[in-house]
Amino acid sequence: MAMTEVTIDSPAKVAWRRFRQHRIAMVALAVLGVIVILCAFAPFFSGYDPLGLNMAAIRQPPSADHWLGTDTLGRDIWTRTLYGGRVSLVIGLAAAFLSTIIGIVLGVISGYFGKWADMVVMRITDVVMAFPPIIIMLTVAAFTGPGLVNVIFIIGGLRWPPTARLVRGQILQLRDQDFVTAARTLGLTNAIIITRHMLPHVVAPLVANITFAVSLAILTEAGLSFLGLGVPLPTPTWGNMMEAARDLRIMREEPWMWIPPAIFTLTTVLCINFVGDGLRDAFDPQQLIGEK
Amino acid sequence: MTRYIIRRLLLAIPVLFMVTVLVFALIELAPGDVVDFFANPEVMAGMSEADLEALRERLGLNDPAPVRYLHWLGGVLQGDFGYSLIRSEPVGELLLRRFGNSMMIMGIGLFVAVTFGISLGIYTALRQYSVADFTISFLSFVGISMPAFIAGILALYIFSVQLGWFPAGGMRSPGVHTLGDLLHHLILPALVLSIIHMATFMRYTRFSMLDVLKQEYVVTATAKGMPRRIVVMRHAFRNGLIPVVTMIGYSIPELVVGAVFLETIFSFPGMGKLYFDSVISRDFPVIMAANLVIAVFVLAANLITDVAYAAIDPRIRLE
Amino acid sequence: MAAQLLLSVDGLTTSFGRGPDKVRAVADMSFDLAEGEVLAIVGESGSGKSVTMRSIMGIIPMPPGVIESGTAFFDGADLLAIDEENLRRLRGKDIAMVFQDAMTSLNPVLTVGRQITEVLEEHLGMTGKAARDRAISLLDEVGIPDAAHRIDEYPHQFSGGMRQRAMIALAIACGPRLLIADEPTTALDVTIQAQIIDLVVGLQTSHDMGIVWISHDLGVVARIAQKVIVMYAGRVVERATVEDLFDAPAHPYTIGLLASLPRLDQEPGEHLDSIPGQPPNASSLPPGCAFAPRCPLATETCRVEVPPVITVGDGHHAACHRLDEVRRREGRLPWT
Repeated sequence: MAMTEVTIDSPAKVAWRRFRQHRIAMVALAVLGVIVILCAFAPFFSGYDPLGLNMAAIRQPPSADHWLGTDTLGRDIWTRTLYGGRVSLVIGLAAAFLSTIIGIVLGVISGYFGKWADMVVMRITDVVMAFPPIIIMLTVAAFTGPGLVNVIFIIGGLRWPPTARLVRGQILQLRDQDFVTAARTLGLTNAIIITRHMLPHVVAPLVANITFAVSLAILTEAGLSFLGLGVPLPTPTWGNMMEAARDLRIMREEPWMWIPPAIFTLTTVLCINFVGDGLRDAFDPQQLIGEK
Repeated sequence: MTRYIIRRLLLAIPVLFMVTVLVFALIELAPGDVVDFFANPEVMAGMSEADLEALRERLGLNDPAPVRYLHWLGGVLQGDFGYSLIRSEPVGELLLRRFGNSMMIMGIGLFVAVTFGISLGIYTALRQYSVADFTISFLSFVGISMPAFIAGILALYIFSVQLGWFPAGGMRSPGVHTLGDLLHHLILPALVLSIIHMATFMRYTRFSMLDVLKQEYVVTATAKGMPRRIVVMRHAFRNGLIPVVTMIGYSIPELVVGAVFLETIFSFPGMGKLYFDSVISRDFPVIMAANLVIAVFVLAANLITDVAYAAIDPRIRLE
Repeated sequence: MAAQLLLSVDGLTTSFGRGPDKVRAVADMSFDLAEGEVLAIVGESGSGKSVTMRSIMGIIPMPPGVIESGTAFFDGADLLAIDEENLRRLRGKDIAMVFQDAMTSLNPVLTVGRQITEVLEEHLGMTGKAARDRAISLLDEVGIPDAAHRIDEYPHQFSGGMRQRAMIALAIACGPRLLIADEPTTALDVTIQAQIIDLVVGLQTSHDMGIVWISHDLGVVARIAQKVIVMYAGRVVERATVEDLFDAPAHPYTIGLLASLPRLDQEPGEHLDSIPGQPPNASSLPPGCAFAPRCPLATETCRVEVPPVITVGDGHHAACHRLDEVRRREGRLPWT
């Protein structure tokens, strides 16, 4: 009987190997890649200006010239969908980044320092969570006025409670473990204990959470813009392009104006969620232990 | 159990208080003069500075913020939410009527979502890895990735505009006051609302049941010679339901959000549409009152969830 | 006079998984149990003792579990061949089981009483007050004080020992002829352990049940069983009466187990032998005797050939190539 060689891979490597076995997640990652490339290099895939009006060609159905038709001002829908994707994706990533940072900071404060800090943070979380996020966002958006940066701050500033709760739960578990007690006994500062000894353990459960935060942020932006309270025209985003469907006549007669951004939004969000699902499985510590 | 409920109620009071502060502060922190937000620009254009000042004085806007807050809170506690700036109607009555309409959509939506979501969750958990399990699980994933407004416009386009099965919006056909007509208007938005939540409940139930079916007490029940039906429903499901109940409670805010979008898309005269219209027209007494009502509704849903949770799980109830 | 045979297992083989991942948990297991007899199955965790009895009860998860071959006759019926519905009627009525951890084995959301009355309803058709009264008297019988009140409590309100008593009340509710006890004392404190063992011994006499007691603890076995089967890596390595097993163990593994037991007649400071190495992983068993890698007497034959079961004495069998060597050394093995 030959001794099996024991090699220890880094957790990230193990997770990637396990992620690759998740077939749907891999397909989703590929589709997502295509969408990101299309949006990022939009000028290569379209000869039109997303803001260029053409009163001679308004409300045109899909044709060889305009693959997905034109809108009420003669702008090319395919072009606007790609450029709109840029804005939607950037807002999604930026808002998710912001909410994750806020969530981590508040979660760590709440979980690590406990007592009144925990009390205060958790009460704030309760209050923010008492409002359905979009509801409070609508109010805030109505008063701050529409705008790209405002949308990022509104979404990022109000979507952090789930992350904060997750981080707090993880930190609470870690706080009582021996290696943290040991670090404290050694006289390490709180900052070092938190950043070097605790946060690395929080990364795994947080990875999937971040992907879901991105898809949620994209949907939130789309929802706000759909209601006319997100990014204002003429800048295209998937959400404000779909706003066209609120006009019953356009919905009925000119569906090419709103169906492409709807399909792009759904596909993107579905793919991000599948990737997130794959990541969650890949980082699941229970499954890591089960693996031989 | 009664003590448990009372304790929960007491815990909700400070949160409720904070909510009223936040609702007030949201309006207060808005940039610009408060008067700008509710006074119609056209009307304002014809007003002199002295007129505006008189208006501020009349509305008590020249008082310091805490005084105005207490004034507003005092009114709210007596059921006086003020007067709508646009609709010339007391906010309380307006909200009450619209809230009732919304409850129809949300009630039907939630009921359908819970019944079918849980049933499908149990079904797929009992047939893990089967084709049915794979298909339903995949569809549920599409369901949870689908925002209410996209589902809404797609459903409106397909079932009302193209197929003509349902009216394109509103709550009643003009002049018709039958239950059938009401349901005809209700059913599409309610079903769209339910499908999104159905997917969530299905996934949670499936996940929870798969976990519970592996527990030793389920093995015990089988070893006791209980029929499969009893093992699944009495032993596994009652335990598997516990996390699902929490999930139902957590989904209430999303239910409200869905109602805002769907009522707007379907021109349904519910609180969601009222809220949206008020935000657009900056009808701030309505916005404040609606925010408050929604927050209270969410907190009440959380409370009911906690109580239901305790009713199912004796370990909580008897702690 | 031989008592009537209650359970007769022959050639039971159970595995988990399929293809290259297949793990054989129990291989070619055979034993007989007479009515009213107490048999102990002893082995380390993963040795297949629990899977053996769960296979017979039909409660291993399938898939991944597969019963590959074997028969288990109980009352004229082959438990491994009869359909699920007939097996279900036997379970809990004629064959009952007590599990290791009563905390996880009792349903947390049902009262202790409900968990007993549902068995009475299902198998004996008792309902309402009759079932409740019977459940109270059962709880009383297993020594739960104030049973009439505690019947309405939930498992988490019971102490560990009380929960295991409730579990036993549940098992004996329908007057089973065979009781399978799967390490029922392992999770308990030593003093509670003794009480539970005494309780089962008492019930065994008053109810005249056959018992299969699964344990990893030879000390417990000595107090309760008449016959013992020692399992190692899914196979029977030795089978004997309790007296024979303790007086004249034949298999090196059994000898090792006994040598590692502390004894009262031991000199203070005397060395306790222990078996070197670890039990093998069931997924990569050596081709010959599974114990060979840890056995001080192992030869090349042991490593490549599965040892046959050899009769050592009346009702005493061992599966070992080196029984002659064991006998020559009078059971004193050179443990390293």
